[in-house]
Amino acid sequence: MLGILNSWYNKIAGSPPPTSFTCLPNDLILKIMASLPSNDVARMACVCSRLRCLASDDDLWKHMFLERFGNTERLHGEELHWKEKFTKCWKEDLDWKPKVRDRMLEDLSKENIMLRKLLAEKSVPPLSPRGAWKDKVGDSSAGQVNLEFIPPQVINDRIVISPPADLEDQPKPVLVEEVGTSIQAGPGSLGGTKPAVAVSPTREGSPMVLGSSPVLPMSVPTILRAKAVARSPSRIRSCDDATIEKVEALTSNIFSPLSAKETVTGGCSDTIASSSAGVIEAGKGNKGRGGGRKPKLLQ
Amino acid sequence: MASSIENNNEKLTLKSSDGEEFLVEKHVALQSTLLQNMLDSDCSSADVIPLPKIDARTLALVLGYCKKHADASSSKQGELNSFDSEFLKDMDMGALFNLVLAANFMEIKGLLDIAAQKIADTIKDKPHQEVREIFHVENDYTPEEEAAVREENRWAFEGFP
Repeated sequence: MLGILNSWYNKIAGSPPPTSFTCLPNDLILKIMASLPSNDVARMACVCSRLRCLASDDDLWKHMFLERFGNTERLHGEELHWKEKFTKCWKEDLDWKPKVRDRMLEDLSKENIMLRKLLAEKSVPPLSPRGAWKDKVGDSSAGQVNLEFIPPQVINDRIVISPPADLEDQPKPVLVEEVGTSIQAGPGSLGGTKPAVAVSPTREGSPMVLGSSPVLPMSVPTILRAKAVARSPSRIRSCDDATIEKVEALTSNIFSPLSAKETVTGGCSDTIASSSAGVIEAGKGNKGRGGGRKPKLLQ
Repeated sequence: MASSIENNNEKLTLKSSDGEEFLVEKHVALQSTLLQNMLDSDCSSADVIPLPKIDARTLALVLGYCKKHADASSSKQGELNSFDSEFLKDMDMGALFNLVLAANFMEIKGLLDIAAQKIADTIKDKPHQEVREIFHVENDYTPEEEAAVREENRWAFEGFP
């Protein structure tokens, strides 16, 4: 049977009558439109005047409204064309989503401030390569939030933490001058691998939860020292392994932990290597030790 | 309907708009609600049924679809789905329009749905200028009118030129 049909098809296939879209009756065009996303249908109005007429069909937009927004509760009985209702709710959603996003960003920024204050008090450079925190936050599936937190970086053997752009109006208390704390890096650190870090409870003794952690007070001497180097564009500090562990624990509570391989790469191992020789020189402006080298990472 | 199931081996003849005749098993023809209604009423299977709106090329495609679905009605749905997507693959727009018209006329819901969906998929996420080209539709707007319609639907143009 099918063979016969195929032979018929092959016999006649040479002369197909050209059929254009305009040959289709209105109900078929509406059926095709009903299979399209709503913004595609709205754009179809720009193709030609006939499609504009069809792309405004009330039943079509009622179908799309119910499909997208589920019910008509939020319309409060307004007497509008269904396309107008749809557009209204669409725009409302667009206006609403950034507000939620901004609020979540604000909450997360508070977390950052708290963490920075903690870091300032403990003089801790977190062992995250540039981009690692950003990646983790950016991948957050919970709120689709891209928190523009710029992670620490290494410039001329100094670990530099820069403020995120959206915190520029905040006080800048975390500029801490390094006063000569030695870092005791283990042999494993020289090879670029992460020191064994136990995910221990945080300083407060409980895991940090986004949006609910207390903001730690900043000590006055810290602020004073911070002011002393206020002209410096970067924040400089060093730390010991114990404080590294604490910050690792803190960050691992906030974000999903990375593997050791992901956490420590390039610039950070370089820092540890140089610090194992003695002391990180810092707080002498941009012309400290290693001034002959070019910065590895620039903002 | 009952009589048609009893006479599964019966055949009927369909005649296309360009005069070609197709001998079709009855259970295959019954995929079409139009033919089913005709057979249930007064049409004898001995008669030739004219289909003046459908050319032979399109009718061959339609009957190929009907045969597959009639024969495979008890088999797995997945097999039919892969047949459907393969069936419309690489089909040009003119043939798709003919097919959707034929399926609409013969009331073959499954074929109508997949053909309409295929056309929709072709223009999905395309700028309206490109839709004009795909459908060979003439722009009957003046530039001012087009700009006005675009402004009316500005919300839908995010990410489009």
